[in-house]
Amino acid sequence: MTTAPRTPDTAPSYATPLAELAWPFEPGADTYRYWINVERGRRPVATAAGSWGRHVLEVDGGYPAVMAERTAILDREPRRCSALPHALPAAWEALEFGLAEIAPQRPDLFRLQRGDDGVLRWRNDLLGTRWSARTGDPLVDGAHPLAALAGQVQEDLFLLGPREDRLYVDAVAATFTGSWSSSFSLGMSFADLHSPVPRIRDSGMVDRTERFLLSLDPGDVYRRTNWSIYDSGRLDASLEASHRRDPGHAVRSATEHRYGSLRLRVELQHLVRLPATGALLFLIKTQLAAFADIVTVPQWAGQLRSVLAELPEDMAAYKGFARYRPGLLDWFDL
Amino acid sequence: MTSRSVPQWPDAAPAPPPAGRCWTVFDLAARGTTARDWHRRLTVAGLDAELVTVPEPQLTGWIEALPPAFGELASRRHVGWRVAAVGPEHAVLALRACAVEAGLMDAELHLHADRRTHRRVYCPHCGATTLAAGDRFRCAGCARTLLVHDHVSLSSGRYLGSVDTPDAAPGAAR
Amino acid sequence: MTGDDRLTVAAVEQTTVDVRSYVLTSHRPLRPYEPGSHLVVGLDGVRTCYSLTDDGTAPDAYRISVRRTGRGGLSDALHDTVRVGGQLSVSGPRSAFPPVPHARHHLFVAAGIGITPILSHLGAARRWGRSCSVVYGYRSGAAAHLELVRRLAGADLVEAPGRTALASAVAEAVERQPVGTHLYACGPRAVLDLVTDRCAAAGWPPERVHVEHFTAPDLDAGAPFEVLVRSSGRRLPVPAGVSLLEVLERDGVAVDHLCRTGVCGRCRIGVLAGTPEHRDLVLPAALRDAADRMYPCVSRAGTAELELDL
Repeated sequence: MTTAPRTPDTAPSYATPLAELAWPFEPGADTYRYWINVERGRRPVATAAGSWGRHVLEVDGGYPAVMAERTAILDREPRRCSALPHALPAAWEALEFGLAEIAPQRPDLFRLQRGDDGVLRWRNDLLGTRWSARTGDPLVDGAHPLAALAGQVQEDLFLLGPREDRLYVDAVAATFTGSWSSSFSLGMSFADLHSPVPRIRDSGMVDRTERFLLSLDPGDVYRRTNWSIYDSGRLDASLEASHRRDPGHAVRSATEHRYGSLRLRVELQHLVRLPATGALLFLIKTQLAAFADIVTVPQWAGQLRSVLAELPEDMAAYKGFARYRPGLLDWFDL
Repeated sequence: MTSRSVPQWPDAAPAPPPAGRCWTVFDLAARGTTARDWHRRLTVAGLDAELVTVPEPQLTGWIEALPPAFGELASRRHVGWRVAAVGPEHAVLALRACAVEAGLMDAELHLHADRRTHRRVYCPHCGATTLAAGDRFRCAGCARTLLVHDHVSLSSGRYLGSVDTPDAAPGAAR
Repeated sequence: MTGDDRLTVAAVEQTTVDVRSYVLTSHRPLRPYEPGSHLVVGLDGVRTCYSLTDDGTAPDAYRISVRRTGRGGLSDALHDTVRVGGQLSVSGPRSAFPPVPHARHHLFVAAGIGITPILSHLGAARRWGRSCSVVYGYRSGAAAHLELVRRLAGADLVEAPGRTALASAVAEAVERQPVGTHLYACGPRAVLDLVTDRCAAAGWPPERVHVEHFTAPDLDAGAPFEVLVRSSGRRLPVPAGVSLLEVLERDGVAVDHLCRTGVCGRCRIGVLAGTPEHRDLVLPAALRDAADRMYPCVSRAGTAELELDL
C-alpha cells in the first residue's frame, strides 16, 4: 500500500484565555450526558475563572491568532466555504447580523456603516479589511457573503434552511470543526448529518432538536456548549485536515504520561433564527484549554475528573479519551 | 453499525405509484426486468412513460456526463414529471443528486438500488470524488489511501472517505 | 417583537372602494420578516391576522391592506375607527406562508384581497432575482394594488378579471410550469380548492402547492374526547363544541396562542399518544397525517383519547 507523503503538522498551538472559557459543565454536576442543553443567548455566565456568553459572536483575546489561522486555512482550501445558490439571501442576512454583532465590541478596530445610498461599508483595521457592497451582491470583497463573514469572525458558520418541515445544510464556512467534514455536509439533511453520532441518533434526540429548531421564532437566539478531549492546541481538528495530523501524537501523549498537554476542546454553539429569511444561523466557537492550565482552577479540576471518570465507555471513545482514561485519572490524583 | 444516512434498500423493488402526468424510467444496467416492468405498469395505468436504458459497460461514462444531460432533459419537462430509476446504488444515487439539482423532490422520484458494487466517495482532504470498489481505495485527486465511512450525503450521492488515523473518529457534529 | 406592541398609524390610503391600506410605524426599529408573513392586529379583545405587503427585508414600516366585509368584525371596525395618528395593538410579524427558496420557479396565484401576501412574495422574488410569474384574479374596478403588481411583475403577470377568467388562467398555468416550480395561492376557499384540484389533476405533488386562507372555514362542533396532560397526569374531557385550547386554559394549562382559528400556528402542542384530527390551515399537505403535533384552537381527536406533551 502506498501512502502520499504526510504534510508536516505546522498548525500553531492555540489557547483560549481561561477567563473567557465557556466551561461546559453544570455547576455542581459530577456527571455529563447528552441532552438538549439549550438556553437563551446573550446572557453572561460567571465561571470559576471568569465569564462568557455576553454576545452571540464574540471578539475575544484570541481574535488575532484565530483569524490568522483561519486565513491560512481558507487561502489553502477555499472549499471550506461553500453554499447552495438559493442560500444567498440567508448568507446576506447572516453577514449583516454578524458584522452588526461584532462592530460595537471593538469600535477602535471595526467600523460598519450603511450609507443613505444603501451601500454597506465595512472596515477592520486589525485585518486590513475594507470593502463596500450592496445587500444581495453575489460577492463581497471577492467572496460569498458567508465566507466574507467567516473572514471577520472567530466562529464557524452554518446556514440551515427549512424544506418540507426538515432542515438542510444550505451553506458552510468552517475551519475549526471537530473530527467531521463540514465540506461534505453541504446539502445534507439535519438528520443525516448527525447519523454517525453514537447514543444520540437512535434516542430521538436529533428529531427533537430539529423540531425545536424549526419552532424558533424570528429573531430568537439560543446557545449550548459541547466538549471533547483533544491531543493538541490545533484549532483545526476537522476531517479535512486529518491527514496533516501526526497519527502517533495522541498515543504518545498518553503513553508518555503527558496528560497535562491534553486539551479540553469546548464548542460554544449559538443558534439564531434569521427573521427575514427564516434560515437558522448555527455558529460554533471553538475554545481550547490545556489540562495543565485547567487544574490551576481547583473547582474545575475536581469537576472535570469526576465527569471523565463517570462517562460511559462509548461516550468516552467518542469524546476521544477512552484508550488512556485510567492513566489520565491517575494524573488528576497526583 | 450502519449509519442511518446509508440508504437501506428492500430486497424486492416496489413498483412506482401511478401518480404524476408523465414518467421517465431509467434502466441503469438493472438486474432482471424491473425497469421494463415499471415502464409497462405505468403505461398500462394510462401515464405517458418513456424508458431510458443504459447498458453496464456504458454506465460509468453515462454517470460522468449526467449532470448537464439531466438538466437538459428536465428543462424540456414540466411539473407533473416523475422519474424512476433502478440499478446499482452508486448510479441511482448519482441520478438522484442530479434530479434534486434540477428541482425534483422525493415525492417525484421512485428509486431502487438492486445491488451495491461501487461507491462514489468524497475525499475531504482534496475535494475529489472517486468511484471506489472496496472499503479502501486510492483517491483519484490526491492519491492518498482512503477508508470509506458509513456516511452518505444524499444530496450529492456520495459516501465520505478519509485517511485512516487512530484519532479520527468518523463522525458528524457532536 | 414577542408580545403585543403599539404601532402608530402613519398613513391610511383608500386602495380600492372597499380596501384600505394602513402604514404602521414605530419609534423602535421594526424587525424584518419573511415574505408572506402576517401581523396579528387586536382591537377591543378581537384579533385577526393581516398579511404584510412589503418584502420584509428591511422594513421602514409595516403595511397591511384591509377589506371592508360589510359583516362587522375587526376589518370593518378598523375601517370605522382607525385614523392617522392613532395606535394599533399588534403582535408579530409571524411567518406561516414562507417562500421555498430553492424552488426553480415561483407561481403566485392571488384572488381578490388575497393579493396581499402575494405582493410580498413578488417583491421578494424581484429583490433576489428569483424566477416567478403571477396570476391575479379580481373583480373589475376592485383590484387592490394592481398598478404595483403590474409594475413589479411586468410581462410575468396574467390578469384574470372575474372567476371564470381566473379558473381558465389557473388551469392553463399549472399545465406548463417548469420542473421545480412551487405554487403559492391566496384567496377565498373556492379559489384555493380550484387551485389544488387543478394541480392534482396535472400531477403536482401536494408538497409543491402552498395555500394561504384569509378566512378560516366554519367548523362543526366535533365529537367529545379526552386528553391526558403528561406533566400533571390530569385527564380532561373536551365536550363537543368546545375547543381543546379552551379546556386547557380553563384547567390552568398555559398554551401560547393568537388567532384561535387555526390560521396562525402559534398554539402548536406536541402529541405523545393518540391520533389528532387536524382541522387547522397551518399544516402543509405533506404533514396532514402527522400524529406528533396539533393546533388545539381548532383541531380535535380522531381517537378517544390524546396524550399531550404539556
